[in-house]
Amino acid sequence: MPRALLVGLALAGAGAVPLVANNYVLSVLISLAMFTGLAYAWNIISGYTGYLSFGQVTFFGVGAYTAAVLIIKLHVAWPLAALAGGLLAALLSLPLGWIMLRLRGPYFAIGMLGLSRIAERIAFAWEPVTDGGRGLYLPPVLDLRAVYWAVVLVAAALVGITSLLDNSRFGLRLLAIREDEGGADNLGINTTLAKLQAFVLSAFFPGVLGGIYAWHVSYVDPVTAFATQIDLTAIVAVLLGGAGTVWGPLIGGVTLSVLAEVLWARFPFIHTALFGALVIVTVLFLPKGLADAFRQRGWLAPGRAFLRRLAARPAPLEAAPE
Amino acid sequence: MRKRWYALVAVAALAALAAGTLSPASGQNPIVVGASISQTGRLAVTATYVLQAYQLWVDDVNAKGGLLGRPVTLKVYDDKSDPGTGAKLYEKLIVDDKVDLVAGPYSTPVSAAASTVNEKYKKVMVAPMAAGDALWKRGYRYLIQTLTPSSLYYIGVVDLALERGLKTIAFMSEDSEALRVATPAVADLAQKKGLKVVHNEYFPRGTTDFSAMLTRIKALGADVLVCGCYEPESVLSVRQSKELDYSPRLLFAGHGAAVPEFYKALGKDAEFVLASDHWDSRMKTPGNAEFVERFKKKYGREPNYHAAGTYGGMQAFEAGVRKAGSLDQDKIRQALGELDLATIFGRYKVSETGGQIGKTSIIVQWQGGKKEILWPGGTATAKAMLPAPPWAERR
Amino acid sequence: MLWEPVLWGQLLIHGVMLAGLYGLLALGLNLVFGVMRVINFAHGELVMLGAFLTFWGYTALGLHPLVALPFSAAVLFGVGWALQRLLMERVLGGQPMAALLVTFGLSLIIINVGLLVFGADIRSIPVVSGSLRVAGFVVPKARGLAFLTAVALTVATVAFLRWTAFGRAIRATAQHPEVAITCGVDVRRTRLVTFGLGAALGAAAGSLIMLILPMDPQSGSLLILKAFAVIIVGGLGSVAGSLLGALVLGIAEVFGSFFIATVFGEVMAYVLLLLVLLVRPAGLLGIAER
Repeated sequence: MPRALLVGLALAGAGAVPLVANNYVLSVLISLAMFTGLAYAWNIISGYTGYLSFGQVTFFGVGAYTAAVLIIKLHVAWPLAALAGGLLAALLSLPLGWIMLRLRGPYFAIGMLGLSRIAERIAFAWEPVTDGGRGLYLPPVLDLRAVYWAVVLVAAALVGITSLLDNSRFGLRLLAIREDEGGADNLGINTTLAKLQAFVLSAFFPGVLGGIYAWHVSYVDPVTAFATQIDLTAIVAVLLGGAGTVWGPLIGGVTLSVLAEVLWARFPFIHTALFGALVIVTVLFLPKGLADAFRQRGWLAPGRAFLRRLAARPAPLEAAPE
Repeated sequence: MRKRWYALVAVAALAALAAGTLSPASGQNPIVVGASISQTGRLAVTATYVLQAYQLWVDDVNAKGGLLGRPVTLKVYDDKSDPGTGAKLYEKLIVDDKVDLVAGPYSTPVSAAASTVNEKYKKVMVAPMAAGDALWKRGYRYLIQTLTPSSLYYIGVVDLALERGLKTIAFMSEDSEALRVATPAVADLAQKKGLKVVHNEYFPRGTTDFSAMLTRIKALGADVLVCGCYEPESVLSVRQSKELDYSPRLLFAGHGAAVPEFYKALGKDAEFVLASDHWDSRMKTPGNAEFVERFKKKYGREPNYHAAGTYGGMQAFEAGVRKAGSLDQDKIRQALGELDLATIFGRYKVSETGGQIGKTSIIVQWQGGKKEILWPGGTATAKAMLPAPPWAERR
Repeated sequence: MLWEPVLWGQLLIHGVMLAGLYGLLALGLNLVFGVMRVINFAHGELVMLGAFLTFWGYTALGLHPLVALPFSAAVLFGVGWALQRLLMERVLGGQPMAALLVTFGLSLIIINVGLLVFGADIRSIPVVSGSLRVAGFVVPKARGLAFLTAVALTVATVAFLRWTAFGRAIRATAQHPEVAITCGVDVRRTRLVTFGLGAALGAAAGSLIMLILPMDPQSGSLLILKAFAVIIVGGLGSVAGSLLGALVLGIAEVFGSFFIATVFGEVMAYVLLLLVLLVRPAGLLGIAER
């Protein structure tokens, strides 16, 4: 199947980059993959499910601190530590999601923002573990290649999961919740469960990425680990690319990185204002993101290919069991 | 099409040849000093002083005939006040640009991230604006500190309090890396010298209300209040002390109380308040007055401690390179470890780890709208006006 | 020390004073939410702009901040009107999150421009300092002034909404825009005025905060986090609720700081926020989300 071949080639290509690129290029690609990954994670809960979160960085920070503590105090190998960071983030997201997802619209958005601020304060106050405002220092990273592979692996996994999600009943359930939660509920969708599943996915991956981030910069402190800026970048990437689409976060992430390297650098003093203007322009003129614009020009196939084929079949033989 | 391609290659080859052969012959192959500075983001405004000091230092070195007989140039990138970006840029400076010397960024977190990169490539980095002492407890070798170490930020307060026979001392400090080192250091010293520590608490940055904490400290009747603060909290702690009618005999409000905005924000209530500062234009260090003059002439504004500290750090770096006599990083590191130098910023002397041990803060007091240096005694410009009169007795 | 009634009374006063500050911050934010169902992320920046205008009036023209306050409120009314006219109108009624995101982008722009124009230095106006002694308690003057203003503005806003024709138009627009139109309410103009009023209330808050806290162009975005907590605790969209929420929060914060630790006092706002969301998502006096 050519599709599988294409995916394999893309992965092999991405995996081979460190063999030719120097460390600077690798660093740039690491942050690109990191933010693209965060954008994909945010896309699941906010793009597909429609629960706009300003606080997924909570899980990024939890992952970063978990990994840092495991590496420093228990000398756990860093990939395992990052994975543990993701697992703890996912575990935490169960009760938190159960509470927070009862809220809707602006209540959820502000509630999540509050949650991330609480998390930051806890990192300040829980001195025996986090060392408070001093932060935690990790051993220096000598080889960036492994970090690169790890981040790209996570980002690729997220692309894969999103692609599966986009073509699944689960994905449709999430979209139904986004469009009309009450209606979805009436149709017999267990909305609470579906939302919680999406939330956990959107917590696990930032947790893993946070763990990798801690190892990569070898320093974690409350302000940088729970920085709103991290969420902001992911959100803008998704909006720009197209929320609730498979390729949107990737398109947005790459566009944003290019803009950052080319444009921001030329206008250093209005860098944040340009960022803000980009948000407004996107919302006003590109509400469906670049992915939609590309699709209209035929550069990108429409989403949910499998479901579309399924729907286009002459007639179902019998109702598929749920 | 193909012909043009060949022509291009030929021109490029010629240019490379010219660059390769002509430059060293004319002796103009410069020493490149690389750094990343926060030109955007939350640290950008202060960081311009660092950049200007770097440029002034380059001018001064070149005016003296350069370093090791070669001119010096600067290569600077913007780290957006972000440690991750900073690390990325130091990779670029060392790997792509192959700079000869590496100078530090502005701020401790960015320095921390960058130092890991430098350690990997065994490049000495003089980091003039890195404060956190923990940076020098990681077993790194190539990171050199020139700023006042946090543990020596506030120690002058103890002497000043004891001179006036004060007995009890309370601490309230921002929860940051530097102040988590500075506060225990001065508390230990106070205890050792016979002051009683009655309260010691940390608050998160951005706290908007100290009334509860100050109510407690007032009830404990502390003679000395040490606020480990930066600008907003320095102003707030003094203003709320007055609101609560709490009159410590000695009110010290940290580095944040040494800036002119502190006095503007409080007006007369800033009188008698003590502050710590890394540097003052009136300090009698060698070359200090000339530095202030040149900085003002070139940039049209007064230098601050960020500028002076950066300049002083580069003076130490320069002395180290001259002493080593080459750009060999290990020789420079050894020379920097052996130096005991008086820069415009104060004494430079590092421990084995590269952490600063020579430089202390000065303690100043607002007297009649002006900052007067009280401590150390050698550079004092006025006598301490202590104990401070109670709020009720001021007009 | 822990059980002295005088101390408790004093702490209560500090809590109420802090509530004045929070109430001021939350008032304009909540008015705009009540009418347009939009959380204005840029409200903190409007507060900051008002504060800096008043500061400019004080330094350049020698105006007392209380004299400068109405002027900066008037200017910010115009700013709010213009923002509604040029930006918010285009996104209201569309995707529910579009308006939120536009105000979010706006806040980034204003902060950045503020840093360019005003610089990053802290500013404050030292004209009202110290405290009054009332029955053995100290009552800080500047914070007391802010509290009284918060109460006065809240009462005035409630009265305006309840008893004036225009206030009724605003309430009609808030409850049901389509029905309001059929009843002859100029919904568009009502929204313009509401956003303007929200900004003007923000400017009033900023002018008084200049007397209390040192401000820089980034302060607004930090302060507004507390205001979010206040309006959720008090009830989104309820003008009286914002004052109630502020009181709950201010008092909880001071007592939490005193009896546990300052770091806990700071978390208090968010802990309360989550508790309220759990037990009563609409807030103490809030309107239910449809």
